[in-house]
Amino acid sequence: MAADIGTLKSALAQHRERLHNKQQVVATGIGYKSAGGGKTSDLSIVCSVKKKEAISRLRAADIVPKTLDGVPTDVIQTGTIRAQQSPTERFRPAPGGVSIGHTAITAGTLGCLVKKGDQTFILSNNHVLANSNDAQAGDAIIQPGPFDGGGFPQDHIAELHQFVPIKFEGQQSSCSFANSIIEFLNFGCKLINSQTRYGAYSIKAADNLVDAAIARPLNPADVSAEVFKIGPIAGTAAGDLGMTVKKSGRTTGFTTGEIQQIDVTANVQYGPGQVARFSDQLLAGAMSQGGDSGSAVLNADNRLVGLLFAGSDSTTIINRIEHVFAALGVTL
Amino acid sequence: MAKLLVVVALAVPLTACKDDTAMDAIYEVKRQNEADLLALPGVVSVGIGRAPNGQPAIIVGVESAGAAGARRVPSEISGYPVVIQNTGQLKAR
Repeated sequence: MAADIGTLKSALAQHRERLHNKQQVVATGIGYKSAGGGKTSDLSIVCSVKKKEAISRLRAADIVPKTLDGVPTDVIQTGTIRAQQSPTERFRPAPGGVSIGHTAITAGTLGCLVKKGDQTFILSNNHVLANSNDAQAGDAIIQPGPFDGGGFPQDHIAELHQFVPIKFEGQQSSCSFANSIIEFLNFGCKLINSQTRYGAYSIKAADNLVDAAIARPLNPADVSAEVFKIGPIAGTAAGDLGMTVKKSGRTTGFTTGEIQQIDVTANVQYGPGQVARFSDQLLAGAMSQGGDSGSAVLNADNRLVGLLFAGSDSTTIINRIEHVFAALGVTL
Repeated sequence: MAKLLVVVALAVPLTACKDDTAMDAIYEVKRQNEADLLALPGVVSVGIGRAPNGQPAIIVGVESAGAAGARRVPSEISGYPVVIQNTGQLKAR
């Protein structure tokens, strides 16, 4: 006759301490006894173990008795039980989807690993790894990012290798013709002792396609090719209208969405008065918040379609991965 | 009956084509008008999506529902519907 729940509870209370003292036992509880890959209808005291071993290999004191006060026991393998790790924590190896950043920023997201030649690099946004153009190759990248408690040198994971400069609107012109005229005008101002000086500003900077950068891990063993809560990346694909997408990011974790607009031209704010225009972007619904920048965006088949970099309360803006790879000269 | 089948068989791929052509043409219309749309106060994005009825549409994002430029966005351009979406300000995240 099957034991009633009260008998099981008191038997477990009686023996719990002794069970937990056995090597391998990580949890105890009451559940249906398993047999032959399925569940029976018999209640038992279930002992979860890190690794199930043959009785012959165990010390006598570590063997879970077949019964306790006449109540059957069961042993199942669960592995080590850990508190769920948050993407804002320190990870070694660090997968895609976790906090990362240049030492001068708050925190962004590690997108994924990419290859350039035979070297492996971390892919994320320029504004995450290169402080929105205000950085130099070799600068320290830390995981987790500064806002999440990451510090130098203890969390130094990589060094900035390359970034695609972001062209901001109303930026000082890089046109050499305009600048030589300005030099001439300013020289004239000096001559007549005027306090006025001229400057050449681009009326409209050329459109940006990507907000992207790569960093070289100090030790390849410190990074993982998987994306946290998603797994390995299966390849790349072109984002299209109506496509279901997902990402794993530092702030909102694993989220899904749908590409609602393509060929998007958008004015994106980078700080007070700092605006950059991007074209040929993908736009999805609300699937991100600040800190998710740099997340790899994948389709339902785990193919990489983009790099998340901006958004609002109701939208998420994504660089096409084709443009990211072409601008940086990288592959998966 | 056979005639009807032929008509249906021809009509199915033709309808599919129509949507593709519509998509190609809308890119061009959007490209020609996006600079003007983005110059309107409060307009932050212009993209291609679908209207609530599923028809290809030009989607204009505005930073607030009352954005001054929103009133100056036409309801259609060259026959394509223009949908205004209150996206809010777009910020690097």
